[in-house]
Amino acid sequence: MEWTFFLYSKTISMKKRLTYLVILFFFTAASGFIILKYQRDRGKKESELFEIIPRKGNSAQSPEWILSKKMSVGLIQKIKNDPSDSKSHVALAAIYLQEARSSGNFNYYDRAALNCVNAVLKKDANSFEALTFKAMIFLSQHHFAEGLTLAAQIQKKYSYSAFVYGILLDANVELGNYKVALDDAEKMVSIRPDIRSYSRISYLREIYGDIPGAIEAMKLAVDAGSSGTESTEWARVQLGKLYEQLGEMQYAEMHYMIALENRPSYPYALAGLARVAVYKRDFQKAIQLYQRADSGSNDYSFKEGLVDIYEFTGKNELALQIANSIVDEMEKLAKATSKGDSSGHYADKEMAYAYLATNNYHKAIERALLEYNRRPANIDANETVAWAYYQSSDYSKAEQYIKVALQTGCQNPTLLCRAGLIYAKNGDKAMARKYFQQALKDNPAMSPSLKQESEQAFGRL
Amino acid sequence: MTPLQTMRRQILKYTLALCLALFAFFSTPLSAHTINYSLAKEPGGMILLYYLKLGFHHIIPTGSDHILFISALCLLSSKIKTMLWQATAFTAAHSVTLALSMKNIIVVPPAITEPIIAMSITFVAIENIIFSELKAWRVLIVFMFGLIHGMGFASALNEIGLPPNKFYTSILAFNAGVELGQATVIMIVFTSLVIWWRKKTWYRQRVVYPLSVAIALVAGYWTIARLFN
Repeated sequence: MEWTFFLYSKTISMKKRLTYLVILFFFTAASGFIILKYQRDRGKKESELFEIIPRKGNSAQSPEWILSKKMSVGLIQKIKNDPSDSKSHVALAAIYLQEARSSGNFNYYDRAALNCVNAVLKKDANSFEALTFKAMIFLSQHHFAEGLTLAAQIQKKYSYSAFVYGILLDANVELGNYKVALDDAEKMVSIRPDIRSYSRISYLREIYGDIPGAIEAMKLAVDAGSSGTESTEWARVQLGKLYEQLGEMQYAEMHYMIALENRPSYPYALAGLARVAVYKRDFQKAIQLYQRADSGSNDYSFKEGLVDIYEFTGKNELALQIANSIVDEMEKLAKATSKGDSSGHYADKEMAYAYLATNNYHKAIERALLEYNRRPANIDANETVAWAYYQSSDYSKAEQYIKVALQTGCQNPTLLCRAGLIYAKNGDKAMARKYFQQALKDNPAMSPSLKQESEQAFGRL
Repeated sequence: MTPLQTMRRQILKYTLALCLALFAFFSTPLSAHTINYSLAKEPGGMILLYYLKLGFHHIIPTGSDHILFISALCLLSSKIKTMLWQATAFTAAHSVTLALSMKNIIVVPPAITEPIIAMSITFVAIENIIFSELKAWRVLIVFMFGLIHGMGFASALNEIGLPPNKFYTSILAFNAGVELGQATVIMIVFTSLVIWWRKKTWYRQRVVYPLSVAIALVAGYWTIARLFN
């Protein structure tokens, strides 16, 4: 090949040379424009301060939201006056994180909080508050490995912070490092026995199949919190859910009622009452309660509850319509967040279940495996893959994953029923009988379709 | 070596250094690449095959932009030697940036790489219309575009993630898959177009020009769509 440089070549006409130079110039200028546009857009995005948006339903009028709104307006103004004001950035991030929990709008508020903490970390890379908030945002976005790495870094510097142990514990649970999580829980509760540590201990006990122990710890968590706050009422709803697993619906109902009294229209308490109504076969009431819960939060689980009822009562078209709308909304969100350069929310497990409701098993398995790939030791991720394979009639693969999901001895009736169904389809009657017996012995609350399918399969064994 | 040759070599060296420095400057400090935990437990052979398939799949059928780029490279000249020079430059370049991107040494966001990748396709397509023979700068330009395409491959690979204990195995396998995909595209273009009509007097007017114009238009549309979407 003739290594002749363009500018020295004698074989190229002047016209061609000029044309080429113009194109080259245009390409370079366009590349520069792309880079500058990106830098400008990123700068705008990073310094963007998000307003607190009105909550859905009755909670839009709550004094808590009005106070949050007032405080956020003041903080935003302070930051506008002094963009280097780290204290205001941290305070605003805390409001965003709280609003994310209260409204269920994690996509919006996590991005808002991330902007604030990044602004602080640019100034002070060791800011404890900003680092812990960032680790929390990672977990909220389901970036558990990144959250764990960051929390471990913070823990090295601040070894006596119960808050950091809480983040480590959550990340380890989500990644399926349950034994490490137990150590974290012990350290956390020894430093600070409060609502946060007790509720985490309760969850760990639940994972290990100790429901009475989980109830005991969750009661301590509720007692340690102040009534009416989101975190306390959330813990109370979790307590109700634990009673549901034992079939003690009167206690579950009582706790949901108390939560609603302390925090009117609290969506998770309304959803709890909806499950109680389903248990009592009062589907009309359950639909109304789920609809009320859905009108107050962006959490898709309420719509999924509706899908379950409509399917069970034979309104399949309506069920499919809602299920499709969930998938559409989730896909839209996934696309919107993946456009950003920072990582968005991973919601593959939730999307796998949403696809299952639309009978799109191929997509459900694809999503479930994406979730599994990120955390192969987590019992929920394994249960999701197992259930997706079961629904697509690949029972031997389903068994591989359900075995891992059962490894901690979790007594969740939904998990046990799914295990029973998978073993039954694989012809392992003894194992199927064992899991059906464990699941159904207390007549617990669960999806009516799953319960019916399990009871029928159990009867055939 | 004559003074002119020394000067040319230096220009080439500094241009490459400048390109790398520019990408490093505009890179963003993102978190580490996605980790694929489940594959970490799998045997080496299975991982090799998995990433080989993934790399191939990223070209055929999903990498329409890379397919158009390779096709445009094939159209410049009907000589296989010309194609091989360009393919080698492209491969060397994208292998470098793919590894550097996955190691987080260079991280350029898709918002920058994607429109530039589309623009690079337009560029080589237009070049096909202006020139009919391989010149040294074409190889250099293809090398530079290869650097950008490598970052695009990295974005795709990040969606699946890499097993932490088999980083090099997986990245090499992915690269090999990409090469197989590229070789397949070259083979298809050569066997379906070039070898049949390359000796015809109308080859450039009736094959190279219309196809290059079509490629340039499609890629131009992609550039705008990726920039403003």
